Amino acid sequence: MNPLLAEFITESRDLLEQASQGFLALEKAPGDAEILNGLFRAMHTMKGASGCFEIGALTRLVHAAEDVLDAVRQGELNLTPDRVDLFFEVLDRVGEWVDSLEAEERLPPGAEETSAGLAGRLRGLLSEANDEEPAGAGDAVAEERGAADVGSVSETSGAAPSWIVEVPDDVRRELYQIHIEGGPGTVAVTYTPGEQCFFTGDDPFHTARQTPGARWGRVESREPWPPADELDPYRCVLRFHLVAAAPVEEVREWFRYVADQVEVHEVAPEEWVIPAGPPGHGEPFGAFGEDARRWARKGLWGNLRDSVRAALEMAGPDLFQTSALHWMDLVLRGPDPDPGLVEWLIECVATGTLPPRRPASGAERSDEAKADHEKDVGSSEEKGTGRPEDEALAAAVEILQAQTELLAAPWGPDIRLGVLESAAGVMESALTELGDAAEMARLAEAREAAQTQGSGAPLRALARDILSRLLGTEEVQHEEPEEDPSPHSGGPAPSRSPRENGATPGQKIRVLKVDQTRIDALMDLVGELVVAKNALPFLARKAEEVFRVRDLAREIKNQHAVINRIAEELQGAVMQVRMVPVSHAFQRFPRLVRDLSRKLGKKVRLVMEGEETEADKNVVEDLAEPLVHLVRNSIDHGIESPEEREAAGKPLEGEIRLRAVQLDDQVWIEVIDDGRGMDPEVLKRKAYEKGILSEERLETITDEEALHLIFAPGFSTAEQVSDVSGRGVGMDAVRAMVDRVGGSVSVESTLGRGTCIRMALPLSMAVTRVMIVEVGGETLGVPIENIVETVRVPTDEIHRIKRHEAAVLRDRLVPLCRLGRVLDLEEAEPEPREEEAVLVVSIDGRELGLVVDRFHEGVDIILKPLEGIMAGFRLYAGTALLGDGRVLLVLNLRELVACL
Amino acid sequence: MPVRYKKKVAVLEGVCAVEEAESLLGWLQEHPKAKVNLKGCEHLHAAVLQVLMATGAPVSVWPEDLDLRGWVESALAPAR
Repeated sequence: MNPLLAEFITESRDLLEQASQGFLALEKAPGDAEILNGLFRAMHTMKGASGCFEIGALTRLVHAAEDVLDAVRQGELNLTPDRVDLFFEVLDRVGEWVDSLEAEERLPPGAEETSAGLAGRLRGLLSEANDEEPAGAGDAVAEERGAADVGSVSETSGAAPSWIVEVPDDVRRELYQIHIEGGPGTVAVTYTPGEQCFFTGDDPFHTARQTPGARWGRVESREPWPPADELDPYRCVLRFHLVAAAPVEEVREWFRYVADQVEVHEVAPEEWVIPAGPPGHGEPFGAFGEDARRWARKGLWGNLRDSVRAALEMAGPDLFQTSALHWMDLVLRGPDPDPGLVEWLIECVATGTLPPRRPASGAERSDEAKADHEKDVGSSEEKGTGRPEDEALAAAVEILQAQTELLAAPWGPDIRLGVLESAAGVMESALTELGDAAEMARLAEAREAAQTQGSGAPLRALARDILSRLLGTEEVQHEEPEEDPSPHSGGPAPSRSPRENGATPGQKIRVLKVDQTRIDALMDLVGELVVAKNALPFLARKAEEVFRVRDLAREIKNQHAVINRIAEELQGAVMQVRMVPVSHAFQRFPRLVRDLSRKLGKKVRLVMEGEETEADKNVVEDLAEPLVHLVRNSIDHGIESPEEREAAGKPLEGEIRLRAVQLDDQVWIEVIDDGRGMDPEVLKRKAYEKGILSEERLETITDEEALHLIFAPGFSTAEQVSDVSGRGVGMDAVRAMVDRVGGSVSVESTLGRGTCIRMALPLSMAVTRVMIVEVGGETLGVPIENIVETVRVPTDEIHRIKRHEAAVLRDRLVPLCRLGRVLDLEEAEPEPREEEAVLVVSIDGRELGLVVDRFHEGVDIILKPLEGIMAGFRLYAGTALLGDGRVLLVLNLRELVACL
Repeated sequence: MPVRYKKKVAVLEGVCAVEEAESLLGWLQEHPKAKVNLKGCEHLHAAVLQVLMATGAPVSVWPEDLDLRGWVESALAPAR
């Protein structure tokens, strides 16, 4: 994938997440300007970044969102929960599109329609805010779609409006100068506000005055004024004319809510050239004309200019001819003046009238503009870089700087052309955003030059050039020599302007983004190292017992200790790399809780604790799904309706607490609600009715055990369960997941007070610790987290209760299970023993004593799930390779208990 | 108050909001020979501007704010 696109995808996800959190925060603190600004920026950034790709549907949708947020920011619109819902829908949709971009590098089919629909609904909000002007909002959408057919918005084609003659000469000269010096472009705007606009809080005069880059404006009435006593002061009959030095897009953007009431005309520089004033009569002008025509024909611009200056000194102020001379002076300042224009001006001076205009050549204009722009420093100051309208400019500056850096870096020959091409593409997008047509032409040249030379120098020079213009020359560091930036030179990367990013030239990358598969590969290797290391004790024993070299055995043991330490540290280090904070799994819940509680008409407050607790990436990822089940259940069944809560004397707002705690090598994730809790008696009865619980079990089951019934598979699916217990949907799915990652889940509940469901998960899943036991000559692994204790029980203390054996341990009755018998591994005639080795394990809160032949040591293993035909043997959790090459079967205790 | 009504002069100061339009119109109708002082005015709501244009009340002092002056001078100057 194109690295730019990859970056965009990552960035967009972050921004979407940020926006989602922003909206949630906004519901708590409505109108918080900082959050609103953050939201606006997020949308704005996405809009800008998406412009680099062919994903118009996305760009337009986020643009619509940006506009609405802007209205909210301006206080024109309130964010009601319904409107926030719409925004969430937009975020979801954009999220899907980003996924699609990642998978297929394009938007899914139908995105256009979805985008248009959602954008329409968003803009509908604007018309709600401004219901007098729904048409304007609609047109804004049409404009978004790039439809140039919005009749009322005059496009750049066609002649300049006639009223620009009324613009004072000096203003027009200023605009001309800005234009040819590569400034932002100049526009003439006619703004005819709607008659009812005062009622919507609009101040068209203010809008007109604050137009970006406004230089001059005039206001007039559209109809003759009635007598004062018939005047309706609140019916707007004004019309505004104004000229501005700003990109036409920026001006359109400024008037976007009243797009149908505005004609924006992009004025070509020569259109400003209109000498004005009362014509003077006098010989000097005629004589000037004679000389001037001759010089103009020969292209002796220098002579002509001197002559113009001389004539200006003699000419009286404010005359038509004086104005024409000033214009000529200005036009001649460029190194390559348009002969047609100059000759026309000469005629103006000579005749004192406006002769018919010859069409000026646009291409020459832009050449001139581009040739001229280097010396320009002033225009950027006039743009006022601090205003919000200039965000596009700031973005462009950033992009260009990044590209300069990119181009300067040494690239291998195989990818250099790709880099050049992509840099040129990005610069093109940035320039399009700025609406800088002259630079586009230069870019095309530079691009070609760069490709033929196979070097980034031309592009880089251009980027620096543009930058210096955009920022004003003093801010760009030209200290970097114009050396060959080809890969052989390997010169230092150019430092960015410190003001722009605060980076120092020598700063190194501190954070690496690494593909997860590389980490996984590393993890696998560590796992193998652990297994290989485990072989050393066996080797030591062999050296001692088989080869009888005790010294060597000791050496091997020493070495084993060293390698063991290193392997453990290595394992820890790799594990650390994979650790991510559980906040990744938590972050979706504010949204979920909000949506669900709104849907169910409950008031729920979500409290999150310990989000910074870290766990293995896979654990955190797998956590998200069951947590959703748990939280959903808590809201759906746990938290009561506000009325119920009031009746119970609880605060109206229920509370759901998500808590993560790290305990040794486990992380506990708890979902705690202060809802109605669960009744163990009801659970028991239901479980019995459903056949999950046998009658005898019904008698003995403790309340705590009864609560765990909610995790039983049969308990979860039927709806009536929720009628009874208020629990159940997907709870077995929760347990299945927790099992899969080798954790456990437990539940505590107090009727009327609330429920706490706790998932205890291993910090890392890569290496499991098991205890090896021997049964009937076979070795088996038992996961260490299930083991409570190992005891030796004298045979005469084992009691028989009906068919079952049990022993009293620490005043508790623990049922025993002879593992050898259950697994059919027992020798035909078991020797009578004085005491039995009992491994007490705990499964879902129930204790069970496993009678085995012998205990062995605990080992670290890499648990591999059973595959192929073995996959059906659910009794085993998996296999592992031991240090001496044997295969160890690891028991799945829960399955074992189920088989009893 | 952005509009102070003196005997024969309405003094507009600061930013004159839309609410002023109606009272200004009323006052100007009652005082047909009054003038308007815009010296300290920074901005007029379009509705206020419209009242000034429609009544043709003479401006005694133009705004010190040059940008505003540029806008309103052409609209309120009696020569037009």
